[in-house]
Amino acid sequence: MTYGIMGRILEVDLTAKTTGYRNSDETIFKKYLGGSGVAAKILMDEFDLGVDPLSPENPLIFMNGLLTGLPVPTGAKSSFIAKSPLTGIWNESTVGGHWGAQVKKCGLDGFILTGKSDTPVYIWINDDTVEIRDAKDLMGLDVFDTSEKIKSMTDLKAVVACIGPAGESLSKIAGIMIGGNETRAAGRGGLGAVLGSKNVKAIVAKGSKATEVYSRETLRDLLKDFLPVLNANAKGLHDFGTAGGVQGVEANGDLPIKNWTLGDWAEGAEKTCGQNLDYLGITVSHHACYACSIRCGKDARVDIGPFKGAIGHGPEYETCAAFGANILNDDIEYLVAANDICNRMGLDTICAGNATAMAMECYERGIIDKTDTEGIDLTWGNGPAILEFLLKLAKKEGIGAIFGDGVEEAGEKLGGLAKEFAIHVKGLSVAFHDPRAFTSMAVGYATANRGGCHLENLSYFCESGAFPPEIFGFNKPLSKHSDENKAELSVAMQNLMNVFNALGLCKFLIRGKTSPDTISSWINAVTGWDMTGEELMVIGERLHNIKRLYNNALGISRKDDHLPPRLQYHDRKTGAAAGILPNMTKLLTEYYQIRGWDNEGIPTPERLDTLDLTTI
Amino acid sequence: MINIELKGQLIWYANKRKTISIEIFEGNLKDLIISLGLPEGEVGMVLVNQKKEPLSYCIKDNDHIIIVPVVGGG
Repeated sequence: MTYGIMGRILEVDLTAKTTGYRNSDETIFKKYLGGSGVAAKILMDEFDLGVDPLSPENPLIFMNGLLTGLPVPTGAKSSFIAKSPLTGIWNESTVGGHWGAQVKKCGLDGFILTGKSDTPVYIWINDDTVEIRDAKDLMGLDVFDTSEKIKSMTDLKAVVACIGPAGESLSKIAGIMIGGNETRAAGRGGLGAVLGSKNVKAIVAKGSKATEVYSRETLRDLLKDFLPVLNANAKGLHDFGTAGGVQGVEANGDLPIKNWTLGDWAEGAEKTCGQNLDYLGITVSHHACYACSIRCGKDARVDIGPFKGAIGHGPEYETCAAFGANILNDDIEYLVAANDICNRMGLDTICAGNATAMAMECYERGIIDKTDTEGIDLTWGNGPAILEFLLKLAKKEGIGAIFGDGVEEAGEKLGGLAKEFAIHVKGLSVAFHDPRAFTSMAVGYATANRGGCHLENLSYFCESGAFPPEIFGFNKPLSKHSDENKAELSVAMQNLMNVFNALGLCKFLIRGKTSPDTISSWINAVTGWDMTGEELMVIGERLHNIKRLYNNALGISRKDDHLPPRLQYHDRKTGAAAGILPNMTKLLTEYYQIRGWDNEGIPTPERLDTLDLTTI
Repeated sequence: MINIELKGQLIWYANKRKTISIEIFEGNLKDLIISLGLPEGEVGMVLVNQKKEPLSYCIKDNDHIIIVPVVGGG
């Protein structure tokens, strides 16, 4: 008997329009845990990494974590994985909601899409039956309408993962959106465009199978004392969602303001935070992902713009920063409407927000004008202009043709000074936590496998006191703004966050002061294995390294491990992190030494041997 | 008299007041946080007279206390 996993992976060849299954062996899960870990192994072993990301030859993998869909706190996450059209390198995009759990109920650990359909289709996974259905009538519909229409044609209790107009236009900042207006997003890295390039509008799942658990009683006992701690520490998240963090982030100099140029915006932060959404009655209800007691999801009323009167998923922290501080918009109604447009169009709000800020800076500097924008006045903070811009961005029309494939390409198209305004690492727009505030984030961004991603190390939680690193055995002093020990912290957190991704756990689980030993005890209760927290951290290191090997094979090395110049060389004059710049040479040198990589950022054979990765 | 500064989102737990003065307070920082109605899980750091102190620190007259929230976001 195998516990925890379902034992099979669906394979869909879209060119031939055939489906089949492969077995998913427990041994691969023991070594790579699931999710993006297992996907990395499959991609490295079986597929050509050199392909064009938008060609039929680029497979799109979906994989559940080992603990996805199980009664484990926050066990809702799963990952879409493919070579990114935005960055041209490794990409994994995790998503919560009820999608992964529903796929698991269909008896699947994941699925692999290859080829390209000659006509638009959607894939209907109904327990053991898989159909590739015509989707011509769905083309052009937004995410909310697509989801509702497909459910009416399949099962009202099905869960829909789909693309919006952005994915259809092959925008490289398009995400794969889950759950209609509940809108959980596999947003980062342009995987919506990969799905669009395969002519797949949606994948729909509805299942009825239960997962075998080794000892539900042991699991229940383990969770008895844990859940009250998690719920108490995550009260702010429950009450106000991630958007409740805007002011705290600003107070620490961590909030990007005016395309990452300014250091403080306290009054604006007070107007554009989750608490104000709640105070003004814009937040109307809470919702939870599968197996989560935090319930950080918020539903918000849209009071302005083309979808006025609708209820949609409320803006997360990243979106508040994207369409608030970073474009100097303190009108929360426009912020909510901008979020809603991105959700409906299927745009990653981090990339779309960075693109909006870059466009506004280009407009201010005269690099683009109203001729380019077709009359849109892209003055900083201009609410109506933001909404018009986003609609064009999603369809890559007009000014959207310049910015709709992300800031790096926009910089290339515009040339000159515009490149300075493109805030990205390896092509992926940097998420809205400023590495000039929490130094460990600087080396974290520079070395994240998918580019400018905050979730790959999340170490600002450690530096700010939200997740004391002693919990995972890191006892060295961490002084604010100092470079000391920050590379080592980043390595440890990257390893731990790789474990979270591969298991299907939400990052907010760390608010329960969750140690690797705690997590391994849950794994053992689910699987009957005998894994320790220490072994789990070694697996995390293995996963970070296998993804690095994927990137190395595509030419990534030290030359690519850097911050955008604005974050590396431009200090800010005000705010809690005024004058702070990370010492990247020191941080990176230490980071490579701790990782066991050579001076060019390539894992050494000795380290690969330690991690049992020599056959990769 | 002790003077308290609330940073970031903590002001919403105190009717949006950013500063609070209390004539007399007997107890430690944890007692103060509870008496102000702040969720302990939302407090990242407390500075007393510009020095980081543990929640067991006993408050003294004339202390200037800054309460900083955890950094969250997503």
